[in-house]
Amino acid sequence: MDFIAVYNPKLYTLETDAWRQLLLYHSFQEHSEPIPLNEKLSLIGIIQGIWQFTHNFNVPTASSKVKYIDTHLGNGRLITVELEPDYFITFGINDGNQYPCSYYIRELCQSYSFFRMHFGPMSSFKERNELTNRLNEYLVMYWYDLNLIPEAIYSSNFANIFWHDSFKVSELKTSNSAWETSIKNNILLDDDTFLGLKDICVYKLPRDGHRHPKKYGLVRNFTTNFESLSTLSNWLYHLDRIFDSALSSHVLAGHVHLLRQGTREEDPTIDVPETTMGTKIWHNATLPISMTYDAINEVGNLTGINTFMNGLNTIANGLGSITNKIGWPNTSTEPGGRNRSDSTTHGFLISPLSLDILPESYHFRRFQLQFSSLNTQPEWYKLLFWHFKDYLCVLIFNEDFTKIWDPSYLESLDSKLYKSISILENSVIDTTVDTEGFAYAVLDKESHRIQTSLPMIQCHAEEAAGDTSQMPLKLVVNGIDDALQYLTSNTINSNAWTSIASIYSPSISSEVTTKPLQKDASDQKNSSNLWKLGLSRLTSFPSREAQDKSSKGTSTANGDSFLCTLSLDKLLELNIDLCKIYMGIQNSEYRRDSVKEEKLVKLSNGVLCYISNSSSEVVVILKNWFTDERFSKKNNCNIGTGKFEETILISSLGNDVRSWWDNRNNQD
Amino acid sequence: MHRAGSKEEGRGDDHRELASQQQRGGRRLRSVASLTSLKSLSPPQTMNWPISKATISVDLTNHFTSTLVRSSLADQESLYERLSPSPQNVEPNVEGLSSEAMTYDLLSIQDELTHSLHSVAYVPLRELPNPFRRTVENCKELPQGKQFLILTSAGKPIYSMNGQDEYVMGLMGIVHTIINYFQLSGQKECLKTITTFDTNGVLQKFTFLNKRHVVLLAMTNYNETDLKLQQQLDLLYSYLISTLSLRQLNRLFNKRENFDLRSHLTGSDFHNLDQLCQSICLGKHPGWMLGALECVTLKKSIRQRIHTIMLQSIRDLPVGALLYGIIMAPDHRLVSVMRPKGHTLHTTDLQLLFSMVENQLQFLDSNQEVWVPVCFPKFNGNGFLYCYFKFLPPGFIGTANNYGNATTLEGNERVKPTLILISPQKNSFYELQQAANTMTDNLTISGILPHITNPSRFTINDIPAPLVHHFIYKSKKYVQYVMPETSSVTDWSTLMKYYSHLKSAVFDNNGTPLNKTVLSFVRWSALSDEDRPPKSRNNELLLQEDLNADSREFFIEEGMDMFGMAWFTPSFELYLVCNNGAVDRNMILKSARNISRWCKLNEHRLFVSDSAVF
Repeated sequence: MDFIAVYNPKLYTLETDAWRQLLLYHSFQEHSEPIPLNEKLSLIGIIQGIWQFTHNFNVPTASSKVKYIDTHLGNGRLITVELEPDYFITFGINDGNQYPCSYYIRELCQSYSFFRMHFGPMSSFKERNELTNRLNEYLVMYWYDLNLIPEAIYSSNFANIFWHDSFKVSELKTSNSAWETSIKNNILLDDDTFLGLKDICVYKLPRDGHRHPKKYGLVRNFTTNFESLSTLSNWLYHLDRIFDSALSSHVLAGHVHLLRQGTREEDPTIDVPETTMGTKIWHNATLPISMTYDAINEVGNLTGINTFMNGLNTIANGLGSITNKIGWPNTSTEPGGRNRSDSTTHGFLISPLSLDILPESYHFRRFQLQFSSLNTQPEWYKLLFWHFKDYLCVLIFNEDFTKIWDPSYLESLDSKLYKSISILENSVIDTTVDTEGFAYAVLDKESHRIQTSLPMIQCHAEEAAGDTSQMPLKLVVNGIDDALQYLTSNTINSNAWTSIASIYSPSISSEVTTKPLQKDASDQKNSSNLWKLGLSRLTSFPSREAQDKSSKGTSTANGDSFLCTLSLDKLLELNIDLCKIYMGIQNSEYRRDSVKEEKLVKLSNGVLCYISNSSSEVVVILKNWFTDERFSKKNNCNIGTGKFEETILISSLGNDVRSWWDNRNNQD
Repeated sequence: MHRAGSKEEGRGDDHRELASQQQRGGRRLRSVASLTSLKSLSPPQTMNWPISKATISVDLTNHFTSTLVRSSLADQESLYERLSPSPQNVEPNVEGLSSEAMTYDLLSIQDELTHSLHSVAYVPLRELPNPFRRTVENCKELPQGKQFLILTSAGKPIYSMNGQDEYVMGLMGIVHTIINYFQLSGQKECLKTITTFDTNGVLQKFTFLNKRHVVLLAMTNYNETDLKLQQQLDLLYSYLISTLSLRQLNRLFNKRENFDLRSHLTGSDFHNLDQLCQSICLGKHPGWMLGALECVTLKKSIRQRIHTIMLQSIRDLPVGALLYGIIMAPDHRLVSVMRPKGHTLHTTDLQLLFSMVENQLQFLDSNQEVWVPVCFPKFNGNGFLYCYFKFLPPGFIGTANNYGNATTLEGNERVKPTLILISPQKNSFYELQQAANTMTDNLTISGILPHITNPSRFTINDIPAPLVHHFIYKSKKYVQYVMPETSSVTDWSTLMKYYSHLKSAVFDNNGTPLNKTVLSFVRWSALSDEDRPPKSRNNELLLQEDLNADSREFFIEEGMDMFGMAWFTPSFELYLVCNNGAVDRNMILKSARNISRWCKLNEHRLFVSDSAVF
């Protein structure tokens, strides 16, 4: 990565004022000399020139307007996106032009839409400096993290890349909709909440998205016209992607960032895990840090005042002792002896119940969201996050709703959510019996919803596969590093780590995914060390490494599709193939409003890919024709009657695809 | 022989000398024409003749008869059934049917027929529905769609395909600034492409070709890969080289960097550039897209005899007088090549040579000869070779000026078949003329000429390929392609657009194939799901309604269901476009197999597999 720049050419009028147009220029070249302002400005000028130049050849119409420009140089490339009228972002990268620019466009657009969700549109900033500061604070950090794990960019599957303004929905099958009714009646329509609670978005973010991608994503929300839903969802997915899990207070609060280990000398944080753990992967070693506060919450609940709280108090310099706000309905009656399965796996991640000393973003997130397409002005809302196992509920409150500061209200909310989501959990039908011989991705253009069984390629897995002893990255929690360092350096000992190691032993089966709690609980029982408690708490989400191991160990693993058993390299390769094929659609001149273009591509490496693109939806189906029986033994049974016309290409993909397609259409 | 002073001394001199030779020349030289005078011979408006005559009656009759048969036999049959493939429908006539033809009633087809046979301006049937977006062409300063710009490295304009001069000059200034910026900036980068996107996908592509003294830019709104645009720019650049030679270009610019090349180019150069650009835009020559040549279909024995005749005729030539000999048929189609052992001509060079014949020489009198220096950029960009052109006599049938039809099936002006002899020596005109005369005489005597002067393509009906409307088969071994006869009513540019989309289904944006072998089906259908006939309802009813709606346009737009296939293998590439409404994938695949088998079987007839080597 070379640099990233945000500018607005309309921000200056005088020649001497030229610097004003440049809102942000961040160079990723760490050790190079600072670039003189003049050079930056002339680069911006040239990019502007290119932008204007291309517009000479294009009469903008209502339906088509230049959005992005990709400029290829010999080695590098410049990608420019118009974020808002007159506000541009340009990204320079030197990747040898081997990836389609859609990879970067997706990141650029997302980083902006997240920024906008956090701080509002750029044009709403009155002070230029204020905007620059905010951009530095958010946009630069976004790209800084990406710069450290560029694999994250390339390992996104193509549905995320090309459909970046849409979001994935979970295809969780439930036996009944009782849980929805429960949420509606008990929470949304509740007298207390009715006025203040705008929406609840329920996500399932399982840790095994690699193998069961169908389940991953938004389960549902309850408002029909939530325009910003895709931004919010993608933001969660992004956190999940970069920081390994979105189900953490720190990650959700935006306080976690990646750090290249050893680059900062004043940062002597835990070397212990590295030395003692040896081959443990890095995020196992560092997750305890990011989870410390979660752990403390619970520890505090269980045992009252203890050494950690004391430690924290000391560090916090008298900012106030532990509040008693934390009170979980189930535990208040039987502290210390409560049922583990309840206590460890649900609760607020971001709520006013968090410790007072924590920054504001731990109490609520304030986002600008849009709820109606007619009402053009998006408004500010306060968001609380609540989780149950791997379900995440985002509660969106009107900004002036003060009840969220009432602990008893939150307590009751917690119990109601718990009840509803438990019903959901119990009504889920486990559909992972058979591995499908194909993978699909469907984009509904109107609702921006993506359904896909393409595996989520995980950038972290790649690192895990590498030489883990030299893991260069770790997670840090901004601002409260000191506290954490104090805690961890004092308390973590090799003993604790070995106990984790035993959990992650290769003998782990896929059972871990389905029943992590038992492991958790059993570990808990044996543990006299409170820190073990904290750590084992983490393991309720088995690491992806464990996942990989288990999937490798069991060759007949039940993934959602045949792709789930592929190795990472193969997946990445496949992904690039797919992107290339999909680029063909992007290049096509067919009239997008009225014509439907379908494509069936069969490559000699086994890829059989079907893409159909109409004005309402995009369907992509992927298959391996090597393994498909139909291609080895001649099959003449063809085409029923009736829907012959519609499905001519789809039916040639085989009966399994055909029946999936028919089912799908019947549901609609 | 003191004619045609060395080309290196300057083109203007060259032409003048040629012209003056013409004046003072003897009996023989009277026929030598100067190229500078060609522009006046061929004013641009004559280049765009409308299709003046229906060229081939076969296809039209096909429609005519088959419709007749169909409507009388199966009046009650639903149109859809007729169009939908069924195994019995293998008679080629039926497969050749287009849906539009069906929508006509008999009378109108008859009208159409007589009309098209006798009048100049008839409305062509639209056999091919067009699923592609149309570009906005109403912009005054700069027509959209496609644009080529050529400028010097110093930013001086050389050529622009269209647009108002002042406007384009401004653009060239910007291009110059942008390119220079990247070249001079820290990393010394070279601007390659700019791609713009809207939310749906790619809008435009700009591709730059940075040569030492010349910068070329292509802009397209169409589905063309970066590689293809590069090839187009290379063709234009090669043309500049072929007319100026690299050595001269270097000399001119080394003298003065901001030299204005326009002053050095003649009117016919600009005319030729215009013609090249236009041919590229209209996709006149599929060979340019495929990087291949098309040949005249000949029996192997006839080709052998041509080779023998060619070789016999040059026996008396002094050693080194002849480098290449080429017989070229209309439509840029190659008949035979004569070459020294171990030498071949680059496809680009041949393409340029052929378009030169097409653009510059076709308005010459058919008994004129031309002797002209040409630089073959891929052969040797620094020097000139000397080309002798002679039109072949029209054979037995027809009068002296009648070469069959004046336009080809693609709407190209029909070029007279030409004999081209290429010499490295500028003084060999008379020797070559002698050899050429012998050659044409022998060809005439042997009765081979009609095969060359009036070559026919095979038709799609010659191959058992039901449902296929048209195809292009490229043999990688010979770097040649074949395609069947198109009917005079084919919308050529739409057909080519189908092909370019099919091509992009097997190649990625950089022009590399997606894999070693790729098989792609592409389908364009205009009925969206909501508009489809409800399942309970009979298709027949709906289509009947459509017909009764007496809006042909409506039917065409709504009833589009086009199927195409692209097949890329290590040995061949096959692209085929099916008839509207033909959606039986297995049948199409079978047809494709038949085509590739047929082409393989007849490869010696379809392709020039060996040349006359001396």
